[in-house]
Amino acid sequence: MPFPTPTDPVRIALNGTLLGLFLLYFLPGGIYLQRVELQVFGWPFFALWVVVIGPALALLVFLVNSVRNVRRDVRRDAAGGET
Amino acid sequence: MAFDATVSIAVLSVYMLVVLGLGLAAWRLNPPETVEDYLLANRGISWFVGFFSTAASQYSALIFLGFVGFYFNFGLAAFMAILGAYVYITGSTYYFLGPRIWKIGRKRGHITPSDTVRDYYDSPLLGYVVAIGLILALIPYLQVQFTGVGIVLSLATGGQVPIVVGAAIVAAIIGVYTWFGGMRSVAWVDTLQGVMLLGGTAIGGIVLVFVVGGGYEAAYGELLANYSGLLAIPGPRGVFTWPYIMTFGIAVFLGWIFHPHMWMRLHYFKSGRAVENLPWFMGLTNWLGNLGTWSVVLAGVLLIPQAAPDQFILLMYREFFPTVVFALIAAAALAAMMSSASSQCHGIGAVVSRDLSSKLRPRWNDDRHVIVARLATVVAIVGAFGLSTLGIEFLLTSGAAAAALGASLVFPQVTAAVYGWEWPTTEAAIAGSVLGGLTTLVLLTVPGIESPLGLYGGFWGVALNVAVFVIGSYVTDSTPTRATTEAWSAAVDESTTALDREHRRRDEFPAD
Repeated sequence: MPFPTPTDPVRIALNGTLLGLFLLYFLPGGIYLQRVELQVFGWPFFALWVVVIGPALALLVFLVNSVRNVRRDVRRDAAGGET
Repeated sequence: MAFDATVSIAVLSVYMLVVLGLGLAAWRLNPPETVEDYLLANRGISWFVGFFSTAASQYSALIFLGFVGFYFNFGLAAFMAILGAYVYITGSTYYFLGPRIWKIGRKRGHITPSDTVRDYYDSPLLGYVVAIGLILALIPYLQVQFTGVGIVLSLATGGQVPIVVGAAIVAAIIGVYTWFGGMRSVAWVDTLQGVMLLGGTAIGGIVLVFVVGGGYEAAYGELLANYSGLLAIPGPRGVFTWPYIMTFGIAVFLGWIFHPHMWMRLHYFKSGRAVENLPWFMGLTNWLGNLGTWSVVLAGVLLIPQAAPDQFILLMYREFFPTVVFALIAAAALAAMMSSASSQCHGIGAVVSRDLSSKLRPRWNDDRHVIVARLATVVAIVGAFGLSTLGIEFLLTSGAAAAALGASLVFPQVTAAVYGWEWPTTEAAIAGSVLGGLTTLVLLTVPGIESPLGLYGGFWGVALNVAVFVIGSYVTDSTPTRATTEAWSAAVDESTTALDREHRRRDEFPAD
């Protein structure tokens, strides 16, 4: 297969979430989100989304993946390398 | 508040002495004995030092000076194209590629990006192309750091230290501890500088908004009343349209990890678990830093909108805070630049030694290759310092162009290698790298040539590399051998914990 894909369902879900957030933050989501006229904590909504919320959601995906990968690897090593 | 140049100079002098002392202490405690020791500290860097050295190497003059000017001129659109793209796109390179690069490097002894592509595609020519291209990419980025250093020192000393003299002093300090201690000295100093720069930019920026700016609500009120263009796409100058944001972000932020000094920081960790945590750590630190940078813009718009935006943070701290506090912020700005400069110089030294002299003179012993690395580092420092005296108008452009060139040279080649894909061919890899790199170089550096369709020029280089790499692989034959693809896949499948244990045993029981 020229482009092997992951089979782990959690990893697939994380990849899909990351892609979804990317599309929401940049195109096409950003086009619609900048039309939201709302003030939150003194910030215009779009500014809060671009500067704070959007990046934070991606970091959360990375954090979940990192913690999960390290734990899986320790369990796998303890089991003698078997998955 | 009254600015006291004597106090500022004293604080900065103490900072410089601490940096020099720390770098030399790292050398004295553990002098490098081999090339791998000089270039990678024997792959033994702890997670704490490693995280902050990686962060400090990434965040440079741009985060204190360049990005402030960029966000002031181009608004939220630029923030999306810079920080948003860093978190999502560079973060994704750490997420999808980082752990694989570490494992393969650990098993096969890789240090530089050229090592990886030369090994997988069995192509010395590809290794040379990538090495030379990455050196070319780093030089203007390195020059930017010395330009920034000179500006900061001149401002922070009330003009008593001219720009050129300031840059020369910093170049000398960096040169001394990097020459002696290599990666270990650079990483130890980076750790101090990483803490300083993150504290300086994140806390420094947010404090400005609240203490002198009246808070975010007041700042955004001013923006909405008088600078509303900064809060919309494409921004007040109409440059960062959605297509430009996407193509700038993709080209530039796919390329950061391929800079030699950043790539080497994937390999220097003692434990692969640290590499697994790089995506969120690097994203978090960059986010905090840029939150501070954006906050500086908000405060600057309120308080000193007519000043040069690149100098907002220093001007406001000099104006509104005691000199000691201002000098600490200036030291943090210097930390950002010095950490990147030392890492970049050392990275150039590594490429020259590892990718050029080791391959052209394989019979030389380690001592000679370490000397080559040291000499190349010093030449890089002197050269970049010299270029910085020519002056530069906009700090950002060179850093972005450098990263885009990196992606244009190796992004598809490295991705295919670390995923063990069997279909890419050596010819296609070389052709894609050369054509992609040249395209980016021409579109970003030759005056008078416009990038087609209004897209960021570096994007065309990356896209051309991918297209030539994929199409060329279907019309040529020399794919990696089955032994190679199986060996690489096996390396990626190994347990990180097991690899860590194997490395610890190597350190406890070194070969005779």
